[in-house]
Amino acid sequence: MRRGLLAWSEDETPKAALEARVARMQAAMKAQGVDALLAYTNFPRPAAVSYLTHFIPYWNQGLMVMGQSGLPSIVVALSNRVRGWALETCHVDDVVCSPHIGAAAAKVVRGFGAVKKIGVVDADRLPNGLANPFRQAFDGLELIDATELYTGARSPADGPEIALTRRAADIADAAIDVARTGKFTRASALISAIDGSARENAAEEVAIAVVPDLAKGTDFIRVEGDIDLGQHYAVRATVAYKGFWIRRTATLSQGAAPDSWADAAARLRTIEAELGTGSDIAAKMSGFKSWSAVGPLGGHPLADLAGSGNDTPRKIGAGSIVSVSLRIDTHDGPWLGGGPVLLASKAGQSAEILFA
Amino acid sequence: MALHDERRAKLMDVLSQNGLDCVVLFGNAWQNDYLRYSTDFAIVEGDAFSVFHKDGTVQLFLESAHEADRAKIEVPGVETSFAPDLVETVAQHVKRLGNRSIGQAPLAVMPMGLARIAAGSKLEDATAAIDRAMFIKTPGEIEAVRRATKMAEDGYKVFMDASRVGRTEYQVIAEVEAYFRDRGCPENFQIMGSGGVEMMGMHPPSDRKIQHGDLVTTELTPCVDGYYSQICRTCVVGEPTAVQQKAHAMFTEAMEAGKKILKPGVTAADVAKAENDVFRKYGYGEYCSAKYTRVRGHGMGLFVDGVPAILEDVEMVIEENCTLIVHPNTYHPDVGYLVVGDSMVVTKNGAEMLGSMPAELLSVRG
Repeated sequence: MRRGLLAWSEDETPKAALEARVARMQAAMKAQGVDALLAYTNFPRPAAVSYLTHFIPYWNQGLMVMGQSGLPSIVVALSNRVRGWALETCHVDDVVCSPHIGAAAAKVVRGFGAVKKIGVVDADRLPNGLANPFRQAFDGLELIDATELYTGARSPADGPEIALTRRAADIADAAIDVARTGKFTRASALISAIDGSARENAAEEVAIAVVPDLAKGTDFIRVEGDIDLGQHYAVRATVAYKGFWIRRTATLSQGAAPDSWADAAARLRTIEAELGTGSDIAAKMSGFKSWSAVGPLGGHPLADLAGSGNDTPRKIGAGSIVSVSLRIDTHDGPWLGGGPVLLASKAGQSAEILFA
Repeated sequence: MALHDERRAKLMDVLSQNGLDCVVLFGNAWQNDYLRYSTDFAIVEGDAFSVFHKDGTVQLFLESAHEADRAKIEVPGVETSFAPDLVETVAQHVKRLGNRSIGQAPLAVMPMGLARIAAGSKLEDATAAIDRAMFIKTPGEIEAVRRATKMAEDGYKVFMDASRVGRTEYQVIAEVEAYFRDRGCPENFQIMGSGGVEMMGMHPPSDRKIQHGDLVTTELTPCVDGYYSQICRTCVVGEPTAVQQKAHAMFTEAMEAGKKILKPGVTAADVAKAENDVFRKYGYGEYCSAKYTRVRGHGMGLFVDGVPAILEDVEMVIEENCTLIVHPNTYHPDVGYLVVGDSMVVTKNGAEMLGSMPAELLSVRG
């Protein structure tokens, strides 16, 4: 479950910023003849709804419904006792708590007037049980996939998105620094230090994977129990802050870091800056046999957008934020690194590195 | 027999008894139990499906490349695929299974794209059958829940130490999480509250700072080998008042009443009524309603909030070897939201407390 800080600060995410995002979506809805927009949320898949409303369910599931005008509403399968908490953490017309969220959401949509076409973000992922009440409530209803509509109106990143992503990156950097300066021989102690640092600094979420010993392989694992760390090991920290997610990858050493790692780190920064708008990311990363770029896609906060072994790359929006990770083979062995980058809005510009 | 082998044998039995050739299971980090039961994989990111066959073989489809890479290492006996177009890939896989008898679970959260794309495939709802298999625990599963209970009790001591004046709620939980990670525990369900009579419930940690005189509540639920166990306790920052002690005594009496009645054959409603009758006896019956409380306990296992919900209108029969928590958590008008709860395993003739921590109103230095 989500057990880091879940709070809305108007200083960080002004109402006007959320309303501007909603207005962009509503303009796209009108252009495409979509009467209402529906987006599903749960804590592994909160991105579409949190982007528009700042609402993030710490548990269970919910739906956001939005007409062509006005603020969205949230219908969530949480107890009515936490409605006050929900209202404090988001900017919406209303929060409805109900165990029957499909039916309750359909009732809200009926209030929008004549509805013939509902766009659903990540339509194929919408749970069956939530779609059926809409089909029953509206004669001749057309439920269409609105993922492209949503994605198209989401980029470029706006000021709050950039600032909050930068904060997530800072939290991750501070946590990695704790790992870099500490002396760890066990993966559990390393993960504890990173996790503790990130949450202490107000992370909404942190998930750590490690490569325990780079002399034995480069595969990241989730540690359940414990495992010894080798001389060289790697950490992948996935960190969220106020709805925005980044992934930071770092290679660490029990002793002094080999000189070749500084060159690898510099190469990472160069290649990330050269990504520009990200439009030809696969070509620019073709020299690396192992790499990935992740970012928000529909409700997924860090979906695979492109990478080695990914035969179905997604369109990456200019001015959006992605987290890139890659492997560089140095004469001291494999080096794994990565972090978030703000892609350029226009061709010919450099992307901006968002990590230290 | 290893935990995963126990579960695989039970799942093969479920398929055999229900005449199924295979079952399609869906999950993610929220609803992970069906995936973990069938594959032993603990998903962190994205969605996934597993397809478990009657001969015990299983395929795992993950939309995250990182998760797919991890699964290949962590569950090498499972045939794993990276499937960025997850629903399309699995639906096509189901179509290729032809006219075999195929189950699916959990139906309530099954993506609608599966039925749309795999239209014509014979997909039966297998949720109830698999839920029942997960509800009755094997000896190995009970031991895992017992270890998780020990972890929860140890973690609660850290929570108490962390509940210091001036610390924010999220910093308190940061200390608990760091402790759990150091113990090799990767996951925890935890909500909390701090304050007084204005505190109507618990929630994820906020940036509120702990103050002298606060009631600090939590339900703390670490996960060991995939199995959750919960402890609910309340502490006071400073010395508890007589009013707080009196209120807490009623909650403890209610919890003990619920625990005492637990045995095979009683219903969830019986347990809830035993708890709620104590509140009614003292004139606090209205605080057992949905306005003030959610449930009076619940099942636990691979899912933290499993069946049955302990409520007076739930007639599900409790059976031997199920694990659950009894917690009469609710609002008390004199002190605020108050919690106390113990995890239990139902035995042949009664029930056994999985932990050993006394159900006292605790005090931390103010």
